[in-house]
Amino acid sequence: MGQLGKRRERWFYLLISPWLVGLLLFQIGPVVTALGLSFTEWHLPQLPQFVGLTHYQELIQDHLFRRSLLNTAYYTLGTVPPGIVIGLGLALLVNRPRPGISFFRTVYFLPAVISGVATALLWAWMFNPQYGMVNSVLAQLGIHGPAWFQDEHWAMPALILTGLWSIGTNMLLYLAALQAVPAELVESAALDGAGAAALFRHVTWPMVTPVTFYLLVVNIIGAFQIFTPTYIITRGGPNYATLTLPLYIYLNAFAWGRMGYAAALAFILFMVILGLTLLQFRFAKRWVFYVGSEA
Amino acid sequence: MQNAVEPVTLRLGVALTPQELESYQAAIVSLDQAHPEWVIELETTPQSGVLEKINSQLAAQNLPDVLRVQGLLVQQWIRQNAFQDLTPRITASQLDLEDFYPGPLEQFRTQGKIWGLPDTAAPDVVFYNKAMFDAAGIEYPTDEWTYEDMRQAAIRLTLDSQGRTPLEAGFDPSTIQQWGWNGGLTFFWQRHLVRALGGEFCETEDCTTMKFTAPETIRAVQWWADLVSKDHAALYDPYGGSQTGIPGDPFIAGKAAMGFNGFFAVAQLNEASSIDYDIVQPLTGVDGKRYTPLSTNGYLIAATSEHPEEAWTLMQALLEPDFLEETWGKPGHSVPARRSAAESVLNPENPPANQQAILDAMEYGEIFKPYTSSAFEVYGKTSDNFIKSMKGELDVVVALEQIESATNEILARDRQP
Amino acid sequence: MRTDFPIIQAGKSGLYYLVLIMASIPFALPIVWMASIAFKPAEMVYLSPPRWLPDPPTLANFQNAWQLLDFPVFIRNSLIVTSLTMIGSLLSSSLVGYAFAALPGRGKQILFFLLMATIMIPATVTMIPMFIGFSRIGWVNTYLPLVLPAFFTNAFYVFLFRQYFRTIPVELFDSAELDGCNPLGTYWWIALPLAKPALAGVAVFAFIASWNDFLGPLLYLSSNDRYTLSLGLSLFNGLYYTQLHYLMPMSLVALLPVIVIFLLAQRYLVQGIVTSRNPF
Repeated sequence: MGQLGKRRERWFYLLISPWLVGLLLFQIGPVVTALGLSFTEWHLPQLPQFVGLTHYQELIQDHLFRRSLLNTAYYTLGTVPPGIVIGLGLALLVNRPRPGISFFRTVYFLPAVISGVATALLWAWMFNPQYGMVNSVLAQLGIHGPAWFQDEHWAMPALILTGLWSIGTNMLLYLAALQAVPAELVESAALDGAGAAALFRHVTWPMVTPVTFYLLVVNIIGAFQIFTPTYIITRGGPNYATLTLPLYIYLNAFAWGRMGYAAALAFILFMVILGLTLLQFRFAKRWVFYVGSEA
Repeated sequence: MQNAVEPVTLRLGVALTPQELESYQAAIVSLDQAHPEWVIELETTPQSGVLEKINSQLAAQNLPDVLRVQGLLVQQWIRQNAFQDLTPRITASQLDLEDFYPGPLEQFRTQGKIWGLPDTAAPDVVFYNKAMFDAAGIEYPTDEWTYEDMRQAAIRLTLDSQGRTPLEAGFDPSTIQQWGWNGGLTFFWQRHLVRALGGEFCETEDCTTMKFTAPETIRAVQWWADLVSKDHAALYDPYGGSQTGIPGDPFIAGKAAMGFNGFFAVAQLNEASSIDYDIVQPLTGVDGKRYTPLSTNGYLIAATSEHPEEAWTLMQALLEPDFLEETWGKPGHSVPARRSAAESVLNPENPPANQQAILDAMEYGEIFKPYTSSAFEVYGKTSDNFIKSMKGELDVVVALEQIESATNEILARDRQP
Repeated sequence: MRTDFPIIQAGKSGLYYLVLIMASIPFALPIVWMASIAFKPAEMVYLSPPRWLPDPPTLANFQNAWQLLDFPVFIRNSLIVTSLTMIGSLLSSSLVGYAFAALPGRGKQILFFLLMATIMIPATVTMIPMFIGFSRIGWVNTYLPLVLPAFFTNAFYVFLFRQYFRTIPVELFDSAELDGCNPLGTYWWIALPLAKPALAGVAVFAFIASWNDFLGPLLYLSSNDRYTLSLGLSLFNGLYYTQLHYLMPMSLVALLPVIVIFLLAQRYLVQGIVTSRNPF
C-alpha cells in the first residue's frame, strides 16, 4: 500500500473511533461479563461460583432449549422471506406520484411505528377465537377460524402474522431504493418491448439487491431476537408453541433466577445468529450488485 | 426549633397504577411535610417492569431505602438477603402484630424471621352477575353455598347460542355464549380451590415438596376438570382472561354468571362496566372451611440502606392505620392489611352491596405457595400440562403424575435452608 | 389496441386505487380498532362480543388519561431524549458507515463483523452488567445512559450507511481528496449531502426506536418527572389488568409525532432525488 493508502488507512481508524470508543466504554464490559456468567452459577447475594461447562452440558439435553430454537427458526422463516417480498411489493405499488399516495404510504408504514406492547395487545384481541376481528371476517367467508393464540398449531402462525404487520420499515427502504431506478432506463426498456416482468428482472431487481441484502441480514437478526409478543400474549404457550429462545432466556434470567444458564443460552443464540450472518455475507457477492465499486 | 441537622434523603421505591399513584403521591407529600428530618424521594416503576428493575438494582446494590413489593415476588429476594431482618425492630417497637391479617403477614416471614410488613392485600371472592341469575330464575349465591351448589347453578346458567343449557337436548358446547363459572385460576392459585374439595398440593409446610397424586387431590382436580369438559359449565382460559387482560376477564366482559376474582375486579367493574353484580364469600369447602388465595403488597428495608433507622420510621408511618385508610381504603384501591384500618374500604355508595365478604375473606385468605425462585420455574414448566388436563385434553391422572415428577426435581434446589 | 383512451386510463386508475385500498385493509383495521377503543365509553371497551362503533363516541378516555398522568411532561422528556438520540445516531453512524465504505483498512472485514456482532447478543443478559456499570458512575436517574451511547454508533445504522455509500462511485470521493480534501472533509462536504435518503431513513428509524424504547427508560429513570412517554404509557399495564381504555387513546396520541417525522422524511426519500442517484 502506497503512502496515500497508508494515510487513508490512518483516517479509517480515526473515523471509526466513535464506534471503537463506544465499544470499549459501553459494550465490551457487559458482553464479557455476560459470557463469563455463562460459566458460573450466580445466586445472589453470594459471589458467582465457577461451574465450568455445566450449563452448556445441560443445554444440550434440554428439550425446551431445542424447542425454543426450532420455534425461533420457524418464526424467522415465516417472517423474513415474506416480509421482504411484501415490502418490495408494497414499495412498487406506492412508488408512483399519484394523488393521495402519501396517505397510503403512511397507512402501510404506521403499524411499524406502534410500540411492541400496543401491537401485541391489539393482535391478541384481533386473534381472539370467539370475538376477534380475524375470525369474524373468516366467518363471513364461511370459514370457522382456528383458536389462533390458544391453539398450539396456530399460535406461531398468528405470531408470524402479527410480525408481518409491522413490515412498513422494509417498504420504506425499498421505496428509497426504487427512487433511483433511472427513469430513462425504464422507458427505453419499455420502448424495446420489455414487459413488466422482464423490466423487473433486468432493471429493477439488480438495483434493489443491496437493500435486499441489508434487509435479509437485519431482519434475520431481529427475528431471532423476537420477544415482546411472546411475553405479553402467550408467555411461550400453548404447550411451548411460542416459546422462542429470547423468551426462554428471559424466563431463566428473571423469572426463574438462573442467570448463569440464561447467559449460556444467550451465547448459543449469539453463535447461531453470527453463523447465519457470516453465511449471508459469504454468498452476497453472487447476487448483490453495487453500482459503485468497493474501496 | 433548630434545624442544624441535614434532612436525610430516603428513597422510597413503589410500583403503582396511575390511580393509586394519585392518592399515594399526595399522601407522601403530607408525610414529608410532617417530618422535617427526612426528604422522601419517590421512585416509581411500572408494574410490568418490576422484575427487571429490582433484579438490576439488587445486583448493583442500589435498592431504594424502603421498597414496596408485591408479596408474590418478595420471597425469592428475601432468600437473596436483599432486605434487613426486621424482627428485632418489630419486637422493640411494640407493634401489634395481631392487628395484621395472618395471610398477608405470612408472605413476609421466612426462616422464623420477619422481613417486611404488608400494607394491603386483596383476597379472591366469588362475583356473580345478578341479571344472569334473574334471567335463569336462580336464587343468588349465599354464605351457605357449597361448591356443589355452585355447580348445580353453573350448569343451569350456561347458555349456548340458542339459549340452551347443558341439561337440554341439542345443547352445543362449541357455541357457548355464557358460562356459569369462570374460575380460570392459573395453576398454583388453583390450589385453594382444590383444598376446598379435600385435596392438597403441598406436602411440606413451605411447599418445597409437592404431591399431586394423592387420591383426594386427584378427585378434587378431576371435579374441576369435569366442570369444564363434562358439565360444560365452566370456562378455563388462563391465556385469554385475567392473565393478559385481553380481551378482559370473562366475568367483566359479561360472559360468565359467576367468577372467582380478586378485589381488583371491583375497581374495574365500577369504573369500566355496567354489569349489575354482587359478591359472596368464597364458598364453603367439604370440610366446612373456606379457602381462598390472596395477593398482598408490603414494605421492606434494603439490606444496603445507609439510613436504616429513618427508613424504619418511614415504614412505620406508611403502615399507620390512618395512612392506610386515607391512601388505600377510602379511595378503594385495596384492602388495608391491618384490621384497625380495613373497614375504611367499605363504601356503601358503590357496588357491590355485600362488601363485608371481602373483609371476611381477609381472615382466612392465604398466600400463594410455593414461592421460592424455583417455584416460578416449576410453574412455567408444568402449567401447560395442568391447563390441558383442565380442558379435558389430557387425562387428569397422567397430567398430575407428570407434574409431580417435574416439580419435585426442580424444587429440590430450594429445599436446603 | 390503443391504451391511451381516457376510459381505459380511468379504468386502470380505478383498479390501481382498488388494489391500494384492499392492501391497506389488514394494516389499517387494527388501528381503526385502536381508535374504536379510544373513543368508546369505558363500559363498552371490555364487553364481549365487542362492538366497533363507539356508542356514543366520547373524548372522556383521552381527558381522564390526560388528567391521571402528567403527559405533557412525558412528551417533553421524550422529545428531548429522542431528538438527541436521533442526532447522535445520524452523526456517528454516517461517519463510521462512510469510513467502512470508502476507506481502506487492514482488518476491515473483521472489524465490520465485530460491529455486527454487537447487535446479535440479546439485551436480556447484558442488561444487568450494563446497569451495574452505569450505576457505579452515578448515571442512574439521568438521561445519559439513554442518549450518550447513540453518539457512539448503532450497528444497524452503520450497516445501512455503509451499504448506501458503497453504491456511490468511489471516483467521486477520490477526486475530492485529490483536490486536497481529507477524508473527514470528503465525508462532510461530499458524502453527506449525497446521503439524504439514507439520512432520512435512519432519522425515522432512530426516532421510532428511541420513542418506543421501554427497557432503557425502565432501568435508568426512577422519578416520575423524568419519565418518557413509553414509560408513562406502560403505567397503564397493571399487575392484574391492562387499562386498555387509557392505553389505546394515549398510544394514538403518541403516534402523532412519529407520523409527522415520517411525512417529513418521505419528502427527502421520494421527491428529493431529482438526480436519480441510486440510494443503495
